[in-house]
Amino acid sequence: MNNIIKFLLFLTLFSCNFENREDVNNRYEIISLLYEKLAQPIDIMFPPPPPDSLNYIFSSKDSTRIDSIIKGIKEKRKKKKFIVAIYPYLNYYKDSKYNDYMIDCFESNIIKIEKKDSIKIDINKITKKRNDSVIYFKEELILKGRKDYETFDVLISFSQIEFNKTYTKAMIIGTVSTSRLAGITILYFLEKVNNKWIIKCQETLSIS
Amino acid sequence: MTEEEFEEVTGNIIREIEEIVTDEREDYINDLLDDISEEDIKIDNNLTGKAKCVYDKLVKQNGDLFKTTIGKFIDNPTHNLQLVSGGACKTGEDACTDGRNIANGKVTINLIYEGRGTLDLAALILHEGIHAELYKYVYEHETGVDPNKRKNLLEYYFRYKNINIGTAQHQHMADKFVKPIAEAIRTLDNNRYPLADYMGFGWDGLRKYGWDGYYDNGVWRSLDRDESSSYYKTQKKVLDNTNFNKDCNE
Repeated sequence: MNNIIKFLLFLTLFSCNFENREDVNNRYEIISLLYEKLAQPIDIMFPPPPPDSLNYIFSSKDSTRIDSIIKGIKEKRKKKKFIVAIYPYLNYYKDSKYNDYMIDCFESNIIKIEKKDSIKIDINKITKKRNDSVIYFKEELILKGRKDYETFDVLISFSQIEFNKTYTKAMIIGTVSTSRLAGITILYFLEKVNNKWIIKCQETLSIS
Repeated sequence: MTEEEFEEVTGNIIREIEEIVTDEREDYINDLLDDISEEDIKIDNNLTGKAKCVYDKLVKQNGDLFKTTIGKFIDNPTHNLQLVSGGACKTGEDACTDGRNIANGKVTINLIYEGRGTLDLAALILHEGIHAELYKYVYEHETGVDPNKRKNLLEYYFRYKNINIGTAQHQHMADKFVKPIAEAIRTLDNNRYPLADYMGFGWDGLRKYGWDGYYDNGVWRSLDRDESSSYYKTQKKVLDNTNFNKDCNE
C-alpha cells in the first residue's frame, strides 16, 4: 500500500514538474517572439506632408534636408546601444472582452483564463536577435517629474500567458511605451505551428 | 380686516410665493441647461477629485483645442466619450485611451496618475482627448462619414496600421498638437509667462518623436535635446507658481 502511495506521489510530482517545464519553455519562446516585435525604436521614414497642408508638394530642397536628418539619426542610433527596460513581473490582467476576441480568433474559447500569482520574468531567458541591453524596470529609472524615458529607450511589459491544455494555443498582453504618455497595449493570440509559435490574431486594447 | 383687504394681502402673498417658486424654478432650469451645455449627455463623466475639478475648468474655458477634440463628443448623437478616474491601463502609463468600441460610438479615457493635479493634469486630459478625437476621425473617414482628408494623419495610419497605431497617433501629435497643447495650458494659467515656458506641457510624452524628426510649422526638423531639457525647467517654474489648482485640492 505504501509503495502505491509513493508511486502516486511520484507521478503527481512528475506531472507537476512536467507541466511547469512546458509552461516555462513555452513562456520564453513566446516572450522572445514578442520582444522582437515590441522592443523596437520608432521607425524612421520619409514623413508625409505637414498637417493642414493637404496639397503640399515636396521640393528637392525638402527631400535633401529630410534625408540628411534621417541619416543623422540613423548614424546616432548605430553608435548608441538600444536599452530595453522590462517590467519584472508577468501580472494577471482582466478584460471583459477576452472571450469574444478568443472566439473570433480561434472559433472557440479554448483557453481557460484563471487568476494566478505574479511570476517574475527572467530576462536572461529571452532570446534576442539584436545586441540590446535589457534591464529590469524600476520607477527610479524615470527621472522625477518627467514623462519621457531618458535612461532607457523603451519599456515593455507582458501579462501572464494563458495556454490551452495541449500548449498549442496561447494568449498574452504586451505593452510597449516610449514615455508615460506614448505607448500601446496589444492582446495577442498565438498558435504553435510546426513546433513554432506564431501570432494568429492581435487586438489593440488601448494607447496612452 | 375687510374682505377686500384680506384678498389684497393674500393675493400679494400668493404673488410673492409664485415669484419665489418661479425664480427657483428658473434657477433650477438654468442650472439644468448649464449642466447640459457644459457637460452634455454624450460625455459620460466619471472623474473624481482633482481630475474632475481640472476637467470642469477645461469645459468652462472651452478653448480651441478642447472644442476640436473632447468638444467634438459634446452634442454628438453618435459618439460617447467616457472619462474614468482609474480604470484599466497597463504598467507604467499615466493614462490611456481605449478606442476599441469606436464602431459603437464609444471611446474611453482612463486617467491613472494625476501628477501634481494641476496644469500637468489638464495637459494629460487634453493629450488623451486628442487620441479620442483621432480615433473618431479615422473611423468616420474610413466609413465615409467624414470626407475631409487629414493627409498627415492618414499616411501615418496607413504606414503603421499593421505595426503600431500608437506610433501613427503620436507622430501626428508631435507634428500638429505640441504648440496647441502649450497654448491651451498657457491660457489656463492666465498667460502669466511667454509661450516657450509652456512648450514642455506639449512635448511631455512626445519628446522621442521630436528627437527623431517632426514638423515645426511646416518644416521638418529634429527637436534639439538641450532645448527639450530646458522646457523641463520652465515647466517646473510654471507648476510651482500657478494658481490654477488652488481650489482643486480635494
